[in-house]
Parts: sequence; structure tokens; C-alpha cells
Amino acid sequence: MKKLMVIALALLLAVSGMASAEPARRTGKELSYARIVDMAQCMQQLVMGDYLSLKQVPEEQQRLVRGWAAGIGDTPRLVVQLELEDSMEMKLMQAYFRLDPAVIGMEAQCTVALELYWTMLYSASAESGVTGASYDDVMQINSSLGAFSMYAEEGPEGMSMYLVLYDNAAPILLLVNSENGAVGIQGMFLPSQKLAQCEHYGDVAMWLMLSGVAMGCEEIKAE
Amino acid sequence: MKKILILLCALGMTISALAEPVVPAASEAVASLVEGGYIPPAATAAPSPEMPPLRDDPMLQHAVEIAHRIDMLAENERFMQLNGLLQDEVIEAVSYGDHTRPARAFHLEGQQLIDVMFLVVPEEQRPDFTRQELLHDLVNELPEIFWTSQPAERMPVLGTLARYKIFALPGATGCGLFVLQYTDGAPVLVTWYAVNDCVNAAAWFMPDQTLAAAADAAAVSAWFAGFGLPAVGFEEVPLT
Repeated sequence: MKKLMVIALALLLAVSGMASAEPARRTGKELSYARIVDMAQCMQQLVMGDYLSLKQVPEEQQRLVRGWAAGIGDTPRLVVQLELEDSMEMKLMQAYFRLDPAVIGMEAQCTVALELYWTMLYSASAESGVTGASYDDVMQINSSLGAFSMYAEEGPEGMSMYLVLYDNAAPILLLVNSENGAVGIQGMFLPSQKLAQCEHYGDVAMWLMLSGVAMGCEEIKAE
Repeated sequence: MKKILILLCALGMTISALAEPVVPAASEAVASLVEGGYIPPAATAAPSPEMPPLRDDPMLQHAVEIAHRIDMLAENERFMQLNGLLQDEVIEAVSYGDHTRPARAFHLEGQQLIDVMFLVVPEEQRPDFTRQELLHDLVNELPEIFWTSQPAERMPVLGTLARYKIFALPGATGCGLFVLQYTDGAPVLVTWYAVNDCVNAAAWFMPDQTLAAAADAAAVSAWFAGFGLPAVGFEEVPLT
């Protein structure tokens, strides 16, 4: 474990170095705090209503996700924006291929965002035994839920990612894509106890690092 | 697999990328896209001089554009390899033909589609966001109904080549389904729904010979009903 921490710190420093050498340039929409909280509450509405029954989600999985969503009505303890543009994947792409992601379009950003999502999902599900959820549970619940919202607003096109942490609810990951004057938000649960316990965005950065996701993050505060 | 496919369309990303957690490194992904000649669709969608411009209907224009986009992805060898798809003959069977511009378009009006999908409880009883989700299911779950007619080996390709886009369209409401027919090309289905002055449109190949040969709107409606769905009435949409 100690060795792992040393490696993680070394990686963290390496990424910080890369980040400081060239200021991060964000792509995608920056959601307001109010939008983020609203999306989380929409997810709670879905979970607590009869939507999952309509989708024929097994009773046991419904029980699990209701537990995850119970405390979403509270104020989030921490909201963090993950800087996709500042992720190790994007850095590698820029460093080795000297490419501007804006030139490549949404497909490349989607690929990177998905890879990061899968990595986080693996990590969260590895800890989810404490909540009684298997990896398949987490994946199937998120698949069935498919929480998606959209609204019209001009802004930079691309993708962005957010983590929303509560005292009494599972962490939520929001994947945001912005194109053609519209913003789409996809919400998913990441029922990780360790992530849920993070008090500071630095804790989140460390959780991400230990999960194999090397990317910067920044706290988003209430307006 | 069914559940995974649902999430994929919802995310609007490569279905196989989500269905198969073993995703290549992002740097490899990006390099593959670029080296394979992927060009953002907007840069290539200019009509040829011989083609009259499409009718000034944003919904139709976006439907045609996203159908063209999935054709471009299908033709990008590196993109398909990136998603672990190496069987050229299956890719060709799914996406055969030129999809720059449809030869004919048919449309199914929203309420009829809602009647098909809102199976259990009247939609007016739904809280707002649940209603949005049920509309969203149009883009997620409708393909699964039609893909039941397809050979199993085509499923990964069909999933990978499903894409969605969102766009602002003030005043847009409801939902619908386009059937796009091409001259000697695989038909493409485009589902759309509108909320909050935005439209979410999803396109996927439907390489069905009966649909490709449907001579009129009545034949398209008959094809639709052949899946055990309620009787509906497609209408042909003028392209110019």
C-alpha cells in the first residue's frame, strides 16, 4: 500500500508538472452549480418514482439504488469539475501526437470520457461490496436509469465531467456534452465509499489517481 | 447486453465501447481517428452541385446529417478497428451504399410513436422528468425492437454505428421517427424527441431488404407493424 501511494504521488506530481507547463484549456460546457444540483434531483425523482419498475429493474437493484439516492435532496457536500482536457489521456494525446482535440471533434472526446468513466466505474464497483452491489448491479442500474437531461444554451462545444458528493447519497458522475446550442447531461451513480467520504477536491484527485484516472479537478461552489 | 445497449445510445457514444469495457487507450483512439482520415461531419456535409438543397426543415436536415455521419464512421477502417470490429463483410452488410443524401424519407408523427412506447401508464400521469426519460427511451430502446430481425453477428456493428446528436430548436415539441431510404443503400432510422427547446436525434442503420424496397408510406407502415407493434401511419416527407 505504501508503495502504491508513492507511485500515485509520483504520478500526481508528473501530471501536475504537465498541467503547470501548459495551462489547462477546458473544453465543453461549464455547468452552473444550480444545474448540477437540479440534475441530481432529477435522478432522485426517477429512482424514487415508478420508472425503474416500468423498466423491469429487479427489486433488489431498485432497493439498492433507492438507498444510493435517498440523500440527494440535501445540499451536496462537494461538487468537483473534472478537467477532461487536463486528463492524462488528453495530455498523452497532445504530447505524443501534437493534436488539438478541437480539430478531431466530439468522437475523440467521447472516447476519452468513456474510458475515464469505465475506469471510475471499475474502481467504484470494486469497493461496492460494502453497499451490497456488484459490478453488474452498478452497470445495470446505470444502464436502466439512463438519466439524461438537455437544455438550450450557447457555449463551447465538447465534453466535460462533474462529480457530486453527498453526506447520505452515493456519488454521482455527470457527463456533459455541448453541441449545436444544446447541452446534454447524463447522470450516473458511482457507489464508492471511498469517493463518498472525500472532503476536499484534493481527496477526489487522490481517489481518481488511485483508480487509475490521472486528471485535474476543481471545486465548484454554490453561486 | 440489452441493458448495455440502452446505456450506449443514452450516452451517444460508441455502443461497443461501453458494451466492451476493454477500451483502447485514448491516445490510440485519437490517433486512429485522425490517421484514419476522420473528418468532423460538419466539414463534409456540403451538398454536391448537382443536388438541390434539402428543404428548409431543421429536423430533416439534422436527420440527414447524422445518417451521413454514421456512414462516415462505418467507412473509417481505423474507427471500426478501434471498436474491435474487423469483419469487413459484416460492416458492409450493415452499412452498404452511399448515405450522403437519401432518395426518399418517411416520417412517423409523435403521438403514434408515444402510443407504441408508453405502454403501461398514460403519459399525462408522469412527473416531468420521468416523461423526459420515457421520451429518451425512444432513442434507446426502439432500435432493439427492429434489430431483433437482424443476424446476431451484426449486433456489435449496429451498436457501434448508432449515434445521437443534440441541437437547439426553439419551439420544438414532441417526437418522431424518420425512415431514410437510399439508392442501393441500407436504410437509416432516425428517432428524435424534443424537450426544453432542444432536440435529441439518434440514427442507426436498419439493413432490412423489405424496408429498403418499401415503395410508399403504406409499405413502410406495414413493415413497422410486422414487428408486432400497433398499426401506424407513416407519411412521405418531401426532401426538397
